[in-house]
Amino acid sequence: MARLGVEQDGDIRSPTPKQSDSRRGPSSELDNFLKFFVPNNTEYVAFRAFSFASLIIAIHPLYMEKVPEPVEKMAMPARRAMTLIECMVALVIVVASASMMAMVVQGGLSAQEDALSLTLAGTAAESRITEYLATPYETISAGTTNEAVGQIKTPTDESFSRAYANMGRQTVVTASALTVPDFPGLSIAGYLIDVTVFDQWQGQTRKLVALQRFRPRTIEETELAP
Amino acid sequence: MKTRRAFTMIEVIVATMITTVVGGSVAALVQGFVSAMALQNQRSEAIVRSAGMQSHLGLLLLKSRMSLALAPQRVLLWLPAETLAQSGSGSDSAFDRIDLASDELHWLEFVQEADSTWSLIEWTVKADMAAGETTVFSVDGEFWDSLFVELQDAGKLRRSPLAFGLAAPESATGSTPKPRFVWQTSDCCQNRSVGAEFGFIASDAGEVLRSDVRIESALAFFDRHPICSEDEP
Repeated sequence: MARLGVEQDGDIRSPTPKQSDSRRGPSSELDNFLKFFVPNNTEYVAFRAFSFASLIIAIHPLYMEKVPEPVEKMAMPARRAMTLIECMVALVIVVASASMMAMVVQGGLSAQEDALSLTLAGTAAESRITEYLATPYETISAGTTNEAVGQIKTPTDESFSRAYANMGRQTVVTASALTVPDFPGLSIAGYLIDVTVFDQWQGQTRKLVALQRFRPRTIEETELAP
Repeated sequence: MKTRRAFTMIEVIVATMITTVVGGSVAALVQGFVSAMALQNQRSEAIVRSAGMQSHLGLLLLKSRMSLALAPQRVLLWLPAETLAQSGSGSDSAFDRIDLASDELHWLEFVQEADSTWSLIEWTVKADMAAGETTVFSVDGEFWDSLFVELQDAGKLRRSPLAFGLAAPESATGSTPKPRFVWQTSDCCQNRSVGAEFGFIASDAGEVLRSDVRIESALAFFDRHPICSEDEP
């Protein structure tokens, strides 16, 4: 095994090449130059093989351009038709996607319908509260009033519009006194009004809105009371 | 080059049937989506506008002392600019004066637009009213109607739209031709609540989508003007 920079048949670092080397021509000079860096024979052969392979790889694209492929290989490949299974899978995906979209839209519609029902129910409850707030105190009496579904009435005893047709209402009036924590001993007489609006959903009563308001006996009403 | 085989009649018929079924389903689906979107828009508008109108009407009535004029398409609310503590000295007190220059009068009116829809408008008196014509007293509805027309013609009213695209409500007993205001009693000296009935409509492929609403609020601090007592026998 030779050491780096030393060859068995002589010192390659000598500036004067051997006679036998000079007969080899410029290639031999290149070999000697290369041997300066790769002095081992085995490594030198491997280096030459690697260099040749690199050259081939480098010129490969040029080589490919110069040698066109056979006509048969350049022709467009034949398009394969879809199989029945592929068509069925595609259809199933389309139907499933459409169904999911429909379900999403339907869900949004249902939620919005519920929101509108709640809004209308709130107005119906507020109407009932308003009726009690506008009624003279002396004419209010405690008790429970039930209005069946589709039978709710306005304060002027008119029917609500069709949008309220599936709603019912319950009003509970309770005599109560309002106390204020920050004012000990202060007690305001009045009525506690609870209004619940409901509808029928899937055969069951569903509570939509529940409002509670206190109807006080005002100072004027107290002074005017007999 | 290979010879392409033509479709058979059976293949064409089956393909046509499948295309028709799939195309019909897609068209129905798209139509359903469009209708659903229209319905959603209509309901959303109904919800939002109803809540907004309820809130605005409630706020106006909370500040109102009494209603001065009641008509199906126009009501007048009186919102005193002074405090209740300034009351008690008769109709000459600041609390009892109906001051045009202090934003005390608020007309609510249903106005029909050119496209036959209705809008709810709030009219208030502009602040540049002359000092000599600011104090009025009356419980006569015709007086307030005349004053409204006079101020409107003079360009002294400020127009504030509250809602667009309204319609007449469809009551259970029949169709009402116009949206309208409702109240407890037509006697302004006794009336303690004001409300409104109107509808929201939207057309979708010839089908009319409708939502009717009734909003109502009480005059929380109702207080009769002394002129009411003066008219009593």
